[in-house]
Amino acid sequence: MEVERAYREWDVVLEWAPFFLDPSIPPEGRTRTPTTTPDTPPSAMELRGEALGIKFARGRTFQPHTHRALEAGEWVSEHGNPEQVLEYHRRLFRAHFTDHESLMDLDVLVREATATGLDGAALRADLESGALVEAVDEGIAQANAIGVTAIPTFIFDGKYAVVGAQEYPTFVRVLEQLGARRRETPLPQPPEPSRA
Amino acid sequence: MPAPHPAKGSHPRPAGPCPSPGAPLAYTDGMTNDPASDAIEARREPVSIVVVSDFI
Repeated sequence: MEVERAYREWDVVLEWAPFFLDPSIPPEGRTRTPTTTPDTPPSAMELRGEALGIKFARGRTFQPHTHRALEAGEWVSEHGNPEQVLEYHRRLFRAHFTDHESLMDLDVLVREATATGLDGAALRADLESGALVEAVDEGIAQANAIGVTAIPTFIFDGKYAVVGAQEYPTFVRVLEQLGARRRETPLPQPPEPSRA
Repeated sequence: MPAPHPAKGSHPRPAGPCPSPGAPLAYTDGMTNDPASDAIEARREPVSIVVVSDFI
C-alpha cells in the first residue's frame, strides 16, 4: 500500500476510519456472481491491487456484510500499535480478496488478530458483546457527513482528501505541500504476514 | 492531471477541487489544489493521514 510507504518514509501519523461501502448488502451477506472468468484480461483494479501487494483471486461468490470486520478493525486500532494495525488490515484484505474467506466469520477476524500478536480472546469478547458497534456507526456517519463516497479516501490533516489507489508520487506531492518532513531513517518494511 | 486511479464507490470523486461548495473536504492530487497555504516552515508536528476504508 502506497500510504504505508508514505508512513514509513515521512513523519506521518496514520489512522484508520471505517466506511461501509455498500449498505445494500444484507446483514447475512449475499451471494455474488463473479464478474470475470480465467480468460478475462486483468482489470485496472486487479492490476493496481497486485502492484500494491493485494492479489485478487477470481471466482469469489460471496459478498460479506462488513460491519463486524469494521468493528474488529476499530478494536485493533484501539489495542494495537501502528505496525499491528497495518498488518491486521493486510491480513483481512488477503483473507477477503485472495483466500475468499468470509469477513463475517468471527473465527477469521479473531484468528488474524491473534496472528498479529493481539489478544484474540479479548477481541472475540468485545465483538460478541457489540462493544464496538457504536464506535463504528459513529465513524461511518462521520465519513458520510464530510462527503466521503468512495474508498480508499485518504484525509490529510483533516482537510485534504485524495481518493483512490493513487501512486506514491501523489502522496509525496501532498506531503511536501503540507510541509511534512521525511524521516531521517525510514521505518523498516515488515515481511509479508505469515499464514495464521 | 494524472490518470484516474481505481476507487470503489457509487460516486467516486476525481482528484481535484471539491465541487460542492461548503463541503468540508478539499479534494486534491497535490497539483490542482494548493495546500501549500497551510504549509509550516520547518514543520515539527507530523502530518495526519486518515485512511477511510472498508475491507471489501
